[in-house]
Amino acid sequence: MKRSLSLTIGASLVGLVAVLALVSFFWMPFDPNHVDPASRLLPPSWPHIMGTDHLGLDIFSRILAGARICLLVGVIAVGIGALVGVPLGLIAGFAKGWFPKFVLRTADIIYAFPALLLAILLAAANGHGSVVTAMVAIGISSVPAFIRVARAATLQVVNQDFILAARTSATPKYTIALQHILPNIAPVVLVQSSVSFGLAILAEAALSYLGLSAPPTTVTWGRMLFDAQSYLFSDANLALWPGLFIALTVLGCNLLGDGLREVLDPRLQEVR
Amino acid sequence: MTPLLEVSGLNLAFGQRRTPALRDVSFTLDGGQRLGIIGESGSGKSVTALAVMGLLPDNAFLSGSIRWRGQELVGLGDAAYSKLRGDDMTMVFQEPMTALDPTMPVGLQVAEVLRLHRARSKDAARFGASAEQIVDNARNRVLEMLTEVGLPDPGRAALKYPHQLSGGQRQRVMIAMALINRPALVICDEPTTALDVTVQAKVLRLIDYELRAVQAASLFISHDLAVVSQVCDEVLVLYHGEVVERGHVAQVLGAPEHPYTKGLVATARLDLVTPGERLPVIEDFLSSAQLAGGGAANG
Repeated sequence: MKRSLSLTIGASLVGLVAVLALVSFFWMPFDPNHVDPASRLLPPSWPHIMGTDHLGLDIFSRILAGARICLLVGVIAVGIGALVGVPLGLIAGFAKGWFPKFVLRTADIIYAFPALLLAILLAAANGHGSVVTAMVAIGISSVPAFIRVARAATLQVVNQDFILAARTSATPKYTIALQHILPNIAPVVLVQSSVSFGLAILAEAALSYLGLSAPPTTVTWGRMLFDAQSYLFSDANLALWPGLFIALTVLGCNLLGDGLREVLDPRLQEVR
Repeated sequence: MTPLLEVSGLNLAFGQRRTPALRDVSFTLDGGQRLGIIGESGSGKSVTALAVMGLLPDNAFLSGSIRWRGQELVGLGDAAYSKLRGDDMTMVFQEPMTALDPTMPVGLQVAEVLRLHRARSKDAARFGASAEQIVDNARNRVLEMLTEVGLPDPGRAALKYPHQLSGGQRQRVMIAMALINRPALVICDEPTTALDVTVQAKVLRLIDYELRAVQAASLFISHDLAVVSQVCDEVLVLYHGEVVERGHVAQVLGAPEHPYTKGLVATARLDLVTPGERLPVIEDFLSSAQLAGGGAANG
């Protein structure tokens, strides 16, 4: 496989966040929700290596705990997007008649709703915002992108001779779709997934910041940013860490997506 | 006796403007017989093959009659057609790189064709074989077929992906896929055009041998007169969607009657051209009226 710098950096950054989330299940220096007024607003120092916030909460512990939600949101949102979008896109590219048009127009309509609006709607319908409503909202709004990408890739594959060859041996349609088309569009879907992952994390941070996601007891990076707002000029430290980690994670996902594209796209690949 | 395949008065047009692609094409093919179809690009060779397979695109308008062992195929439903495809009639494609799925080991692709056929013919129920036995039989049959088409080290080759094989090897896999179910008709759509000359000769010999082994009839599409004369008994010359000449290979290529065929034969015989002389082109043999007619048909 071809080496790719963006793939290496992207995978390392995303891997780092995954390690943080894993570690948080076994070890955190402090309870991320333990209020300690005696040691509030400390600069980075031992034992609070990233300092403490206005309630005396240890920022490093909260970064660790926040990594869980961050990854959870990414996985669930991308999962919803891919599980709903890829089959629909594949059918839209492969089938004939009214159904593909229906799918594409519906995708256009969902595209018109920003994830933010969708999250507000869901939160209102639910009575209050939660991580689940946020994840579902982000997931739904990422569906159209998956539909379009999967359909475009399917259209490219469908016109190749091996699909015609499969039809000459009377291969059933669902076998053609599952065994011949799906593996061929998998690289494109993978790239779209990693880009969507970054977007989902960003969207969740924005929703947390607006208070439309997790309740205050759940630690998220977006929530930490929100809390840091009033101390921005006196203690920039509070906003710096969660902001930095959100930025690094999203950057990592985008680089991972670019790297995967470079490695998997046959048009960019060297002749074997 | 009813012929295996009987095509009569076949007309084909494409799209809203009904651009004609075939006009009044008729031919018959008996069991085991090989018919070469020659003609230049766009003369309707490949669409004839697709019409017989029932795989024309949606914007095609087909009229006339295609009879398979007396059964009319024009207008036949997809489900009924599926019973013929892959079992009774199969196809070898021109470009083996694009005709094999790049994400699947070639052995599996051959096995899939076999498995679909078995599912239709319900071997399992008839013999009361267990699932393991069927899988085992299928594996042996695939390996046997890959050996027969001359793939070196078939056990290992079966696990390779298409890009790991050479062009000639890929075409051998295609031939294995087309012949594993012992069809009555194999349509070869320029099977050697994408191969270099030495490999071409080997693959042609293989096709010749395999067709004889399963006693399959063949529609052999090519623009290469030498290839057709090597493999086929009879030849059909298509020009702008019309049959201009038909007969035994030796007769048509030895003493062509239609000016277009004369042109084809002359342009293929470069050894007859004296150095320094202008090479013959097909237009030399066609009258201006025929050229104009051809042009109109194309537009």
